[in-house]
Amino acid sequence: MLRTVTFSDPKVAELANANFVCAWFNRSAGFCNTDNEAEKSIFTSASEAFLTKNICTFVLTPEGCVFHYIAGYVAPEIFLGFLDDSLVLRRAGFDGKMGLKPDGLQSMRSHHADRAARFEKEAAATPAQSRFTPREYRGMTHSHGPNCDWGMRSASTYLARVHRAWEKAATLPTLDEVRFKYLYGNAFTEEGKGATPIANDLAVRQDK
Amino acid sequence: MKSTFAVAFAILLAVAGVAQAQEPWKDYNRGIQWEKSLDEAKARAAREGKPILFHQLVGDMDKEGC
Repeated sequence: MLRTVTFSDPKVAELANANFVCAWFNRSAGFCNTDNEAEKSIFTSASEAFLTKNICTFVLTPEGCVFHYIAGYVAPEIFLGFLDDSLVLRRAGFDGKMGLKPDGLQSMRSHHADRAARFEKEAAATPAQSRFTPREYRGMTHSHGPNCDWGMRSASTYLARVHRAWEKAATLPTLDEVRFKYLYGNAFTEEGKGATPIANDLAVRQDK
Repeated sequence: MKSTFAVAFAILLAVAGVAQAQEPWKDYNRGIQWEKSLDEAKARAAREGKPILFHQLVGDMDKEGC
């Protein structure tokens, strides 16, 4: 759904292509078992956000340090906010060549604190279903219902927690340090023997 | 003769059904331009002074349904 709905959204694509270098990694070569019926069910009941553990979108420096992330599926409206936040962090923390500014970490932490407070407020308020455009997915059109409120609240709660965690970060972790330890992340135990590590996969798994 | 036609017709329907089931969703993974590897993304990001948007999934981005 993330690929079909969010990554295919014209506004998401335009913002991502203009401001980021985009790459993906298949954690488990040959793994192929997407349950389309389950995806349809998720789309029907939670097209705004479904924070699954096994997928995550990270924002990295060119050296591979992580300065933001979001796990699971979120609708384009939420993902656009995530991209906007990432760009604010980019400007606050880095110079034109993506070098960390002397006060970059502190500036980013301030932004995280601000965003965490906003998402906490949002999570406590009545979700605004109208901000989400009804979308089609494989011939189905999503209609908002009570489950949507749950999805929106869970996204706001989750993002508040992510920003609170970043607010306390003393350094920027490398991808290997955070790729199994992001909030709501797991160690991908469903993977088969063909799983391909990026680098310190085994060490990180043993550390869990 | 009739049974031959019936079998052929059934096969035709089955093939059509499979073809329909495998038809790619028209909006699948359209829009974002993905680099082929993280290393290439890092090199380009350093050249252009941009952050990297790195999506980690259990599956294959290039294959629908994976």
